[in-house]
Amino acid sequence: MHHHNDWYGHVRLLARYAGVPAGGAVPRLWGYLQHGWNVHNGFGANTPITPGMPRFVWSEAARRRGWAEGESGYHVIGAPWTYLLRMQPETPDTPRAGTIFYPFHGFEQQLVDGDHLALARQIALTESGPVTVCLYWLDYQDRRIRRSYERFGFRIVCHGYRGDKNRPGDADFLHRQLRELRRHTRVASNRLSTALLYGASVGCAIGVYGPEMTIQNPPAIYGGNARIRRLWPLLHQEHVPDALATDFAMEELGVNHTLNPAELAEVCGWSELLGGAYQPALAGTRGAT
Amino acid sequence: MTVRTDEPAGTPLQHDEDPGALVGAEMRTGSDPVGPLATLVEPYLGDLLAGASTVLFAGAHPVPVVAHALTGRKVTVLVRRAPDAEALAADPRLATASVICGAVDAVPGGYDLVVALAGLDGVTTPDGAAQDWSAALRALAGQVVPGGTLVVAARNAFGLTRLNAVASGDGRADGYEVGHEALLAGLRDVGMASSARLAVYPDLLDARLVIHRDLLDDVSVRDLAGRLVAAAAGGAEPTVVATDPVRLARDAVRHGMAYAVAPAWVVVARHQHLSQDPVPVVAVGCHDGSDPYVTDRTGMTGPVLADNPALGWQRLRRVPAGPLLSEEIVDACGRHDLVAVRSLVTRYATWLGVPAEPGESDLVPWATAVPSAVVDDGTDLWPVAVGTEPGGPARPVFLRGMLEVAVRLQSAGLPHPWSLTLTPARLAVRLVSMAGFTVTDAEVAAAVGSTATGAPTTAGTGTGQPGVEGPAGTLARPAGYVEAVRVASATARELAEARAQLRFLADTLAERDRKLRQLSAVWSVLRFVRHPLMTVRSWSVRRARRS
Repeated sequence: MHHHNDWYGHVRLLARYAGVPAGGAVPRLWGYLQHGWNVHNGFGANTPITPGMPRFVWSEAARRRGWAEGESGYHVIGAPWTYLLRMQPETPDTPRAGTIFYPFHGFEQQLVDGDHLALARQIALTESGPVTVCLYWLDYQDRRIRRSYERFGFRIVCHGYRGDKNRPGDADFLHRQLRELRRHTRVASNRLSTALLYGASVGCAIGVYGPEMTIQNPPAIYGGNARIRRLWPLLHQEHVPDALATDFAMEELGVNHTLNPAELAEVCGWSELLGGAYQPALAGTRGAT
Repeated sequence: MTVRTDEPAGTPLQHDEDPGALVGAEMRTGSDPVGPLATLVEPYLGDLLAGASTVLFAGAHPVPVVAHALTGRKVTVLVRRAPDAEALAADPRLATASVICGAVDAVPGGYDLVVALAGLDGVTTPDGAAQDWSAALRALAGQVVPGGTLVVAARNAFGLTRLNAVASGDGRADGYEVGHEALLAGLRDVGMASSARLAVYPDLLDARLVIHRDLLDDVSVRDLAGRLVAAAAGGAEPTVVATDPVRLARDAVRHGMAYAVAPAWVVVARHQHLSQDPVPVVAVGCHDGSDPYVTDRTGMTGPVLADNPALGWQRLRRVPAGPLLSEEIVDACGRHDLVAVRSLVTRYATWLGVPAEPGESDLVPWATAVPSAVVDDGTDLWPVAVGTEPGGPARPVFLRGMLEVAVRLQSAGLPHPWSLTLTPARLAVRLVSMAGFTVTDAEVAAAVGSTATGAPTTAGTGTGQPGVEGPAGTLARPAGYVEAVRVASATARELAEARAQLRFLADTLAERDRKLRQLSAVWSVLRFVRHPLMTVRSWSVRRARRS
């Protein structure tokens, strides 16, 4: 199984939703699972895809972009996050307060250039309530970055380790993120990103503002942040209208495409684990687009 | 060259962007092929250009055609791919044109003449709002000022190219192919009517002949038209076809069908008042017990003023209006709209009252109510072929129904999201799961077995689906030679992919082996070092020996 598949505990989450008994090894998912929102085909521009292997993506937009490039094998199944929301519906009496801010982050192979102190200053000027800043694990380990936000009295959190080729990510990463988001009335970032979609999907207001940060050597095919701004100009403001944010999140997270447990087990090749019909991993997956 | 920038205020262009020209939803890579169609149509454009001061070329067009239109008028060229826009912007022949890049629905509009000869799919992008032929047509028509003209090319969903094709494509119904009536209706919906209709042979992208419908319809010149069309059809790029395209094209002309089955059309359309259109009657109907009524093309209904004395009117048997459920499912599969498929099969299961578990047996009175015998009137489902068979448990009926759909999809080679080499039984399991049910091998085998005995599951398909041979069943028998070739080519492709996947697995295994060897080397060094790990190792070895 490609190690991206279980970043953020995605495959373990899907398996639990599908009813695969917990406790054993992580069930294999034959194919490639989109691990974050992007404006490409659901996968990194440099992710090597083996011919004929299924691509599990979140939304129709990712599939359309892939089709336009002549790719096939797409299954639109919605984001793993939407399955978590089905498993953990919100309780109405959860108290909410303040803003959680997600500074744009790079990752182990591509770092980000940007001014965290300037961003912290802008957050302090913009937000009126208590602020939590959630840092990517790499940034969280950097004391200088943490200090940039702590000096404004912001609470600093990290949802955990997402995983890599040799070490699995934290299985409760998304659970922690869900808990945090449901504690806040608002989520913001200096880049339209996955966390904002997650926030909008659980009733947070969203905002996009602050000094832009740029990732090192971004693939040209993404078109940079300018393309994202051009595609969704109305989502780039300090206070995005709630209806707009919700519609965007529902579409891009593929909420309408969330499968029921039986179909998810079928699509992922796990139905035999549940006593269902014969399910060879390869059967019927090639042509799905 | 002038350049348009429609960037929102306060969002300066980034270093990784092309300068200007981007109107939104552009495609970052690739290049669209430029076919010769616009060159062939150019003589028809002469008068249209003469009356236009602003012109939009939407889609990839030959540069000389665009350059020719530049004299004395403002010309905008819209392409959807950034590399194409960059190339056109740098072309000195288009120095006075505005080159913009993106989806047609992102363009502000206001043109006297819009030329879209690259096809309806040549102006849409994955991130644009328009995602099928009708939306693309609406977006194009929206670019035309009142009194202006639209020249648009569209591929024929029932054209010779498609009818004669053997290859199965990518298993997806082409959302940009259109029927002629639908195309005209689409134009009417946006307040336009066609003033000229041209047939394109042998293909939209590889056009060699554009011929006016009048010529094809004129019996006195049919020999000439036949020779022209046949010659064009024979000049197509060599592809695997079901039969000789020259003979097929010549026969189409001879029988007055050459326009109807042309691989593509070019339609010249203008805005006009709908009230000037003739409004012929398109349907006559009657409700149970009521007077007959007519429906015209605008959808208006009214009483029948006169009937046919020879036939008279009779009360119609009340048949629920709407498509067959099987057609709805098949169409949704063709569009790869699995949200719609899920909704349809779940409605069907709920209507049948399928219990969650096999043991809980609810009986349905219509054992023959498989999807091809059920009409969806939009609010409810109706069995239309009740038959005389006794009722039975709902779950097997549901499974047989899904198997019927699966057999139809596979035997007829219809477009759908799954592999052509998937057995109908496996495909039925997938469809059943879409309604939330997990099916066991025994249930699949039982349902397949019942079809072999002549139950109505496959009766409508006429494919003679053989009985089950294993838990996954056997492949559906292709309905014809073309379908058989498609299955064979799909099998060959999947074999090649399986080899690539084996290679991927072998590489992964080799990588794991390499890491194991490294670990083993570390372990062997540790044997000679007094390390706490060694204590654990010695203990575990002793323990293993004792046991």
